[in-house]
Amino acid sequence: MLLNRRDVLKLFGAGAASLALPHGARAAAAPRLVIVGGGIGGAALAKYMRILNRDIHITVIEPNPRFIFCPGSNEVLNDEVSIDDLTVTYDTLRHRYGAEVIQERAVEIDYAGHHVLTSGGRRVPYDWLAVSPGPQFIYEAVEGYSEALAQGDFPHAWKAGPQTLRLKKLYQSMRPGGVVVISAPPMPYRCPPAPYERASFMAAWLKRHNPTAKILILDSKPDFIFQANYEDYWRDKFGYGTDHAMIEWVGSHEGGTVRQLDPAAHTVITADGERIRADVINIIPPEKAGRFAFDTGLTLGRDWVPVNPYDFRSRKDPNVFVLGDAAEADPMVKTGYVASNQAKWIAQIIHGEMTGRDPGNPLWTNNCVAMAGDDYGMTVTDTYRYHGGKIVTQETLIANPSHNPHLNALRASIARNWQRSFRRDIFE
Amino acid sequence: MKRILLTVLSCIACQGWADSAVIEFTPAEAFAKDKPVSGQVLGDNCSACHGTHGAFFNEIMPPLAGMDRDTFIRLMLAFKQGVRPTIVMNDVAKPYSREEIERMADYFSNLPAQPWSRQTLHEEK
Ligand SMILES: Cc1cc2nc3c(=O)[nH]c(=O)nc-3n(C[C@H](O)[C@H](O)[C@H](O)COP(=O)(O)OP(=O)(O)OC[C@H]3O[C@@H](n4cnc5c(N)ncnc54)[C@H](O)[C@@H]3O)c2cc1C
Ligand code: HEC
Repeated sequence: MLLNRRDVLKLFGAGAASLALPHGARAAAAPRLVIVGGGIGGAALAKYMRILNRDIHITVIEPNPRFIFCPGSNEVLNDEVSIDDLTVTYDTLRHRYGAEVIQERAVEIDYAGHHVLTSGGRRVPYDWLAVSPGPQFIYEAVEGYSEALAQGDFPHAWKAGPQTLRLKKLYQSMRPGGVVVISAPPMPYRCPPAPYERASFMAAWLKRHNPTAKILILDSKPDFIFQANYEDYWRDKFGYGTDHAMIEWVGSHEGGTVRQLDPAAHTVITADGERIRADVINIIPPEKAGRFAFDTGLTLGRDWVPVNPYDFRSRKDPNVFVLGDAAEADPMVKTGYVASNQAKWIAQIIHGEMTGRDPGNPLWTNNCVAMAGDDYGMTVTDTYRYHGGKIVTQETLIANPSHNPHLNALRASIARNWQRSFRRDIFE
Repeated sequence: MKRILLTVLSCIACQGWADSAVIEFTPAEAFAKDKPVSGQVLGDNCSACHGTHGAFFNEIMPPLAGMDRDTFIRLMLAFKQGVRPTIVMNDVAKPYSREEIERMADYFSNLPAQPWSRQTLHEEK
């Protein structure tokens, strides 16, 4: 439904009206960019493409009427943030950036005919297609685990939404002295620090409401990002490393990998064959590119979609770009921050193709801010450049742990502010 | 990993202001022969914190849109060289060359100092 000028005024105020349906955006001969997935990568691409070019026709295919941001969703577990705070609609993309949003699932690509087919039977023509479907979860990697269990009493909550609320309910209603098991996945997966952030937020709540409870992180990795920071904070707040520790971490080198779930017995079984019973089991499964990437042959037999490291055109077809978590863009990490910067660059590539201008050698950043508590933040600064035919890491700097409460609180406020400004950068 | 641990330990001892463990760093000069990229491409990497076009104007992160060119350059060089302590900007500014900082300064100083939500896109000519 297109809003008329008065509706737009009501929704966005006077300034917005002149932005609605940019002049020329609907011109019949305008080239067409179609985007599969209205998550962080897809929405950022639609917005930044329009900023660069007023004439291109932009279509976003996304089955959900709203998007719930994952950044900030661990804070939902600690009552700091609500799911509503993290939820956005596609109104701005439609009315300010003049994108057509088709609320259906993309099911197929007709590469020869340059069309995307949707679940509703539409054939959507494109000059360029960009695919940002996010990851899918490899449930089979943990024997006995399944999508059905994830939607029931064993939520992974690695996609913000009903599972986040379910996990919150489960651990907050646990018996006194109950045990939470978090199974952290092997690399690569979206947002490497998030399992440890999650454990920290749960611990903060439990310390107040269920002080004899325990959180056991069983890890499929031997180490993790911000390990020094998290362990430092856990020692300070949760007795980490003592007999009374509220949080314990077992790396893969100590047998932390979870191989199996016995749902009836509420028990996980590790690589060493150890059986661990827990009141709440949060298995974060390993990941691979979203189903759409496999169904359309974009993965070329791999787990993630191989792309040209300069412009993110898929190896399968140069008119199809792939970005975000689904892309194999080593050494880049899988974060929303990176997905949004890949999106801005792809907009430059398409604009460059339309105008015949060479945008040069790109640089992308991942300046992520994470938290261990409302009084403790940390930052990582990754800078990647396209150099010598590949993506190289120019810089990785990780904030050192500090016992200066002013600094730690400032880092946490920057992290909190970032979550909001990041959402606005994608959807405002 | 050993290197990280060492830096970490020395920092806890010093109890200082924000500093970071260097896991990887190559100075910008190593990329001097690569094709340059616009101030917009560089500057749009800052938007998650400073806002789209550096123009949120109502968040903790200061706006960059419409900033005086020379002030921008002076601050970024001071961040890069570590002579002005900050929470994050020393790390953020470190990988850019002087030319890249100047290109970003051109970009931001030419953007309207007005909240992004109120800006008009593609005004009719
Ligand atoms: C707990 C948690 C915390 C996180 N915190 C941070 C953080 O602090 N900072 C950060 O940078 N990142 C964070 N992330 C990671 C971030 O959420 C992802 O990296 C980011 O969402 C990737 O963007 P994307 O576009 O690839 O995928 P998504 O944002 O997941 O979007 C994919 C979209 O594609 C749609 N889709 C899928 N298949 C189809 C189809 N066939 N047709 C049409 N649409 C389809 C989906 O419905 C979805 O809307 C966090 C993740 C988690 C789980
Ligand atoms: C992770 C969030 C973050 C990112 C990303 C970021 N900044 Fe900043 N910026 C800040 C914060 C916070 C401050 C305040 C100083 C401080 O404590 O670091 C700041 C301050 C500044 C200032 C000083 C402004 C003033 O008026 O004092 C400039 C200039 C600046 N940033 C430029 C940039 C540029 C250019 C980029 C992108 C290359 C960038 N920033 C990326 C968070 C960020």
